[in-house]
Amino acid sequence: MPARKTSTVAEELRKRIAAGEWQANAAMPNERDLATGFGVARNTIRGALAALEEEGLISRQVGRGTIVKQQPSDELKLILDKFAGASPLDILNLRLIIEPQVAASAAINASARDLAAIDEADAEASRNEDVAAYDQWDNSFHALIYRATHNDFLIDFWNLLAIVRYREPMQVIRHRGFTLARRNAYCIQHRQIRDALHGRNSTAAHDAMKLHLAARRRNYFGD
Amino acid sequence: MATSTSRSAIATASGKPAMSAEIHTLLQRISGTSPVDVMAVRLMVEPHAAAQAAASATSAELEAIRNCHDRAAAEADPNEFEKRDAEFHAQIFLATRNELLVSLHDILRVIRNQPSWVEIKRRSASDARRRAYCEEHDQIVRALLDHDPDAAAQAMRAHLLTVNQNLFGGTGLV
Repeated sequence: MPARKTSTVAEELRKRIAAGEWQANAAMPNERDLATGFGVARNTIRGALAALEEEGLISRQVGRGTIVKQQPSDELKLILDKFAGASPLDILNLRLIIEPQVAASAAINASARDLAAIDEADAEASRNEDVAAYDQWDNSFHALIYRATHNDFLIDFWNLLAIVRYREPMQVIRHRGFTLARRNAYCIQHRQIRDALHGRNSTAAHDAMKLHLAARRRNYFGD
Repeated sequence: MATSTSRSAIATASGKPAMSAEIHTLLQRISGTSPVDVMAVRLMVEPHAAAQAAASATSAELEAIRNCHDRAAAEADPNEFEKRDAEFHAQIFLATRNELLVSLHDILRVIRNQPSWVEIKRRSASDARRRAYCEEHDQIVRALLDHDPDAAAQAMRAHLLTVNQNLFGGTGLV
């Protein structure tokens, strides 16, 4: 019950920050005033603010109170809208440019722990024949390869793509193009990528990822 | 793993995308990308863009690219050169006619226009380096005019490696 209240208050605060109710770098009302405003206990407010701080929306400093952090530029927001509105084919084509190089970079930057996580995602994907479960582990496999580059921009680039990848049309396309034979082929392709990463072979990782994504593009959209 | 991000990106009833806290955080993190990470991504993307431009640029697009190069080369003021230089690279992306690739480059541009970057660039700038950049730009332009994708990619890669070296010295290994 209190956890639920906390998340409701947090969501309301997010909305009000996004709406610009408090200026960037300016102080928000203190906990007591917020508690009175929401009609909740101070503990609830404290929990909600902790969540917002975790997300990087606010910072809490002794002596200064709660500060709304600088909003990302409007320019970046506009660019993000373009990604959100992009066609599935355009996204896949962009992945075909980036992801082979991501795999090449992961081959030389991945730690043993990264490789173990990639292996686990690969093994789980191979174990699942159901489309939704397979999809989930397949997604993890690719996300972990981005993570293994240790390049913050590339990791966030994947997060950006995930916004589009998980919209309904894209999911419909992925599920429509799913057959057991294709899934088995993907598993073999993933294994080749994985082997190249373990072999620290950038060129092989690059080529294996390119083949894999090209196969997906063929299966989803034809030649 | 990524589903929570996606759920928050669902458009509101008005059709306008909702700006959720998660996306907000994502944008904030992207704004703070380190210079070394940005250069690594440029090295991944720009040679490809140059190759694509060599293959698909129209004569008008090539003219625009050459124009930017000429104006950068003629620029004596370091700050103005910087702007023309950025425009030169942006025009090459435009010539790929891949909208998302252009958007990706736009993100990198926004990051590079932040105050911390201006300082790094100012510290590493010199007349000799500017002249070297112009010569490298010239190589890129020639390859584009020849419609030679491999040469364009190679010239762009060589140029970015020089930039990387000048910005970070031995510390920015990519």
